[in-house]
Amino acid sequence: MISALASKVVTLFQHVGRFVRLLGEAFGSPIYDGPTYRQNLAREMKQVGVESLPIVAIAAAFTGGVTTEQTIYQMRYPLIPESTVGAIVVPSVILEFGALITAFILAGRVSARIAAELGSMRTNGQIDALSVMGISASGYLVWPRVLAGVITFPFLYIVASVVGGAAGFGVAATSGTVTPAEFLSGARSFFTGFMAVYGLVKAVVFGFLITAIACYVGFYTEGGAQGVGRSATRAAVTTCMFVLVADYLLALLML
Amino acid sequence: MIEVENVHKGFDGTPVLEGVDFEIDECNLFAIVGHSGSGKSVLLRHLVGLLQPDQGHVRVGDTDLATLSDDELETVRTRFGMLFQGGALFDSMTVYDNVSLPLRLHTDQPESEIEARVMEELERVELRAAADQTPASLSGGQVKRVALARAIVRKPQYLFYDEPSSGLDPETSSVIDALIKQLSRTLCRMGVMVTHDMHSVLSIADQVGFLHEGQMRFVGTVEELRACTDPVLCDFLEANAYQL
Repeated sequence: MISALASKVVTLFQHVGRFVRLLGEAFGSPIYDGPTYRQNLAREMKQVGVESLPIVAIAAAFTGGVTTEQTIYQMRYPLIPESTVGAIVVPSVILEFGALITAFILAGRVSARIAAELGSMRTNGQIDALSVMGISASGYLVWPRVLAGVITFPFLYIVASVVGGAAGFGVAATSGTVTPAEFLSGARSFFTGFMAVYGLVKAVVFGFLITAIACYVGFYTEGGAQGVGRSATRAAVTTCMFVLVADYLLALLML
Repeated sequence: MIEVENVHKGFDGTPVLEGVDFEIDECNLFAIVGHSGSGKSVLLRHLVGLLQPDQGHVRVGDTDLATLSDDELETVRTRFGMLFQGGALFDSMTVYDNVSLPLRLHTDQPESEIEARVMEELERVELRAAADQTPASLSGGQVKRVALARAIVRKPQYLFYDEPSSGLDPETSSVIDALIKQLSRTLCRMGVMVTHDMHSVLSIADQVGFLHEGQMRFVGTVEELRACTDPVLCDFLEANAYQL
């Protein structure tokens, strides 16, 4: 029992050590050719950011709408002012749902893709081919993906927050319970600039975690097709867990 | 010169290489043969620094690969070219981009010079017309030829071939053999080839090493191989007689 636990702790530290080493190598390796790296970064930003926009916007719209409906349902007592709906929905979207919903979507969509892609490159010998060419495989493959996540995630968060807030406003305005003016008044009275800063910090942290963990899992894939499948699943599950832990720690630290 | 001295390697307590010794001279093509699971690919990965020995040394020129930092190893590897068993081409890139990648990342050559060099090597492997295609649209033999073009585009001093003719029909296999022979003889590139194809070995190799149960049981010329006296080696050659 104790030896099994000790073995798990050792394995955990080995993972942490290899993770830090991989990122150190990736960001410490030379940029061999600017245009090629810029091209890789642009391709990753398109795949991580632009191609995730529709699904992020749809999820944010439904989240904003449902949050508004549920808040209206809970605010049906006459003593509570209607403007409370806006005061709850908009900060909730900006503080929590905008970043978290986006993170969960990217954890499924982006981390699984990155892990499968790098895992496939590992099993097909492409990562070894880069190494034998004298190219830092971690620098060439990991660096653009992590940077793309850190750059694009805040933009996705902004889109999610705007769409989620707008959907909440739309649902409130058509509900017949809250007037648009009351919704906006409530939203304005509780909104502070810090909320947006907090959300953006979360977005950067989540973007880093999702792409870096996915790269780590994919880069060290073992086995053939089964190994690639395992890596994709492991990346999605692990990034979701780390996003939740980071979400809690950031709330402790910043709120 | 490549020198392998008393190399030992094991995985999870199972020994794979147990004291391997041999040397390869300049301009020579050295073929490593042996049964499946004898450690040929593991040995090849030591020669290019993808694996480090548990004990012993692998020297390329005057450099002991085990003593190098990651950056130094990357610098040494710029003198290497390797043909992987499955080609290991990047499927998101065209044939042209795959072959030009080592030049783009390691040289400051202008695009016109890179293009000329890439086309020269694609011409050598008779795939100039496929420059704009992706690897997915090529046959297995074509993938191997593109991978060979990528391996030699920087004119490396040392070339490594992992099962260069596996999965190819005899005609395509002969084309690959002819290219490897040309690189070794005409351009004086040192080559190390891991293969099961004894026909290739006998027709193009200068030296042969027979790896058996983790040890290099025989090292010699093709003529010495043909006149084998070791019963294990003779059995191996007889088992592959249909290829001879």
